[in-house]
Amino acid sequence: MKKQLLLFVFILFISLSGFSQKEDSTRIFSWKITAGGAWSSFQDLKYSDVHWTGIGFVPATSLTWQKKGIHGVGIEGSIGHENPKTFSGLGKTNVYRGQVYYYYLHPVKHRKNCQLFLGAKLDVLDVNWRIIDGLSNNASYLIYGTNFKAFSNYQRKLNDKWQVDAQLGFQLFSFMEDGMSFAYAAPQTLLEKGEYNYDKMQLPVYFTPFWDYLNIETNFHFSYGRRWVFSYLWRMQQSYLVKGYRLTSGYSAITVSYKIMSKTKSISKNKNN
Amino acid sequence: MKHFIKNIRIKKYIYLILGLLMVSLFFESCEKAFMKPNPETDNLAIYDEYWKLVNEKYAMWGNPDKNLDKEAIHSYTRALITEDLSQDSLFGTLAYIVLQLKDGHTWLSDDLKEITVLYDIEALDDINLDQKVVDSVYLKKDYQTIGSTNYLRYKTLENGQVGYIELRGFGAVYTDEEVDKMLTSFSNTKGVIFDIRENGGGDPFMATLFARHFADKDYYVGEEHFKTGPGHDDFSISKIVLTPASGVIYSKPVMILTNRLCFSATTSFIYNMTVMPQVKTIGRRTGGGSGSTADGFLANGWHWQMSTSEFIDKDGRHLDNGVDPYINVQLDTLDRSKDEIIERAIQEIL
Repeated sequence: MKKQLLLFVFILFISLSGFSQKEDSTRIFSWKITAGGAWSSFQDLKYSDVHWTGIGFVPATSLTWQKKGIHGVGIEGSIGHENPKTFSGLGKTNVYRGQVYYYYLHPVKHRKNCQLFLGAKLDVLDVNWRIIDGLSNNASYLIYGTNFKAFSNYQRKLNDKWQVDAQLGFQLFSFMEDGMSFAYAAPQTLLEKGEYNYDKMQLPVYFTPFWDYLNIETNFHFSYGRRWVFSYLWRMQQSYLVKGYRLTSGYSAITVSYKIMSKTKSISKNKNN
Repeated sequence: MKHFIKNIRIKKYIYLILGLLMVSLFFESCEKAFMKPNPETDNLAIYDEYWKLVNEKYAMWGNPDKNLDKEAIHSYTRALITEDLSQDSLFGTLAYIVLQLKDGHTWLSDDLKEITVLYDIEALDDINLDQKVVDSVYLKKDYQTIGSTNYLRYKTLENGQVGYIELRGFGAVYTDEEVDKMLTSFSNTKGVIFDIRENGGGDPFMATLFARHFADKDYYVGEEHFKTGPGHDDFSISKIVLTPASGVIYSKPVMILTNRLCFSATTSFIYNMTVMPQVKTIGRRTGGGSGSTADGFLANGWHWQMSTSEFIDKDGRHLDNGVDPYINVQLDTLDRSKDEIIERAIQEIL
C-alpha cells in the first residue's frame, strides 16, 4: 500500500512537471534566504489540557523556478521556546521544527494581473521535536513524517514593484507518527501492533489519512521588486492518532526573504496578454 | 493631480497589504478554535485532573499482587476535596492515592517546593550490601571499567577463575564493543558474578544490551502490557524476545546478585537473564518496578509519574512487587571480612 501511494505521488509530480514544459513563456529562477520570527502553540490532550505557547526564530532557504508551472524546493526550520499557560517556573520547552519540501504549482487560470495555480506539495520530512524541561520519560517528544498536500497559489501583480502570492495547502495523507502514545513515549500504532521491544530504538511511520491528521498551511508572500519578499505563514496540525485525545500544534511566522539569485528570461510573448 | 493619484494608489496597496495581514493574524488565533480551553486550577479541577490520569493511564489496577480497590480510593479521596482546602492538604490527598498504588515508579512531586511522595520500596528489607566490603575485599584497586562513568567495574577473582562485574545503574551509555571487550577478558573463567545490588535502574535498552551478550539463541521472556486507551481493558501486548548480540556471547554460568533496591530497568535485566538455564539469582528479593512510566505536569505545575505498562514474565508472574532470588542469602553486616552473597556465588561457580 505504502509503495503504491509513493509511486502515485512520484508519477503525479513527473506528469505535472512534464505538462508544464510544453508551453514556455517566461522563465524565472530565484534562490532566497529567509529569516523571521515565529509564535507557536501546542496542546496534547493525551497528557494535559494546558496550552504551551511561545516565540521563536525562523531560518529558511528555498529555490523556485518557473517555466509555465512553478517548482519550489526548500528547507525551513524554527527554533522556539514555549511555556505552559497555567503555571510558571516549570515545563519550559524548547521546540525545534524542520521541514524539507518540494512543490509544483500548475497554472489553471490567468486573467490580467492575476493567476491561479493548483498543484501539490510534498513535505519530504516534517519534524517537530520538543524537549520539555523537568520531565523524564516524556521529556523528548518527536512528531515526524512525510506529508502530501494539495497546494494552491493565487498570484496577483499589484504594480511594477509589488506582487502578492496567497498560498493554501491542505494535507491529503501522510506517513507520520506521533512519538508519544496514550501513555508511553513510543508510537501508539507501534504499541497497538504489539511490536515494541527494547532491542533498538524504533521510529516507524504509518499511513495516516487527513481525517486522522489534519494539516493546513497558509502562506502570504508580498514580493517587492526583484529581491525582497515579506511573508506571513500559518501552519496548523491536529492529529487524532489516539481516539478522543487530539494533539494540536499551531505555528505562525512573519519573515523577510532576500533573493540572492533572481533571474527572469522571456522566451516568447504570453498568449493571454 | 498626478502625484495625488499616485498617492491614492500607494494607499490602496498599503490597505490591501494591511488587510491581508489582518486576515493572516486571524489565522493565528484560528488554531485556538481547534484546541480545548485551558483547564481551571482550583482544588476540584486539580483533583479531577489527577484522578482522570490515574484512572485512565495507571496500568496495574488489575495486578492481583496489589489488591487495589479503585472505587474505594476514589470515593474516599474525592470526599476530602473542598475549595477551602489548603494546597498542602490537596497535595496530601493526592499523595494518599499515590501510596495506595504500592508502586515505586509512581510518585507526585511539587518540584518548586522540592517535595516528592513515593512508595518506599527500601523499607521492606535490609540493604544487604556493604559497599566498603566490596571495595576493600573484592574490587580493591586493580579493577577495570567500561562506559563513560564508574557505574561498571570488573575484574577476575579466585586466581582468574571467576569474573566479577559490579553494575550499580543502567543510566550510562554502553556499547556492544565495550561489553565484548569486558567479556573477552573473562574467556578463561568458569563463570561470572553480575553484582547488580542497589542498581535502581535507568535505560531498559541498556539492560537489554547487556543481557543479549549472554543469550546464545532467541529466548521468549514474557509480555509487556501497555496502556493504549482510557478504558479498563485498553491494553496492547508486546511479546518480548531476547535475541543474541552479534559480538561476544558468554554462555558459562552467571550468578546475579540481587537485593531490594534492584528496581526498574534492573528488573528488565533480571527477567531477560533468568530465562537462560545457566543463570541464577542469589541474594534477596528484588524491588520490582516492572512497568514503563510516563510523566507530566498537572495544570498547577505539580509533576506526576506513574507506571503505564506492566511486565508479565513467561511464567505469568507479575513482577512489580519484586521477585525472590533462586538462592536466598542474607548479608551478615557484623562480619566485614567478607560478603556472604558474593561468597555463595563463587561457591556456586566453582
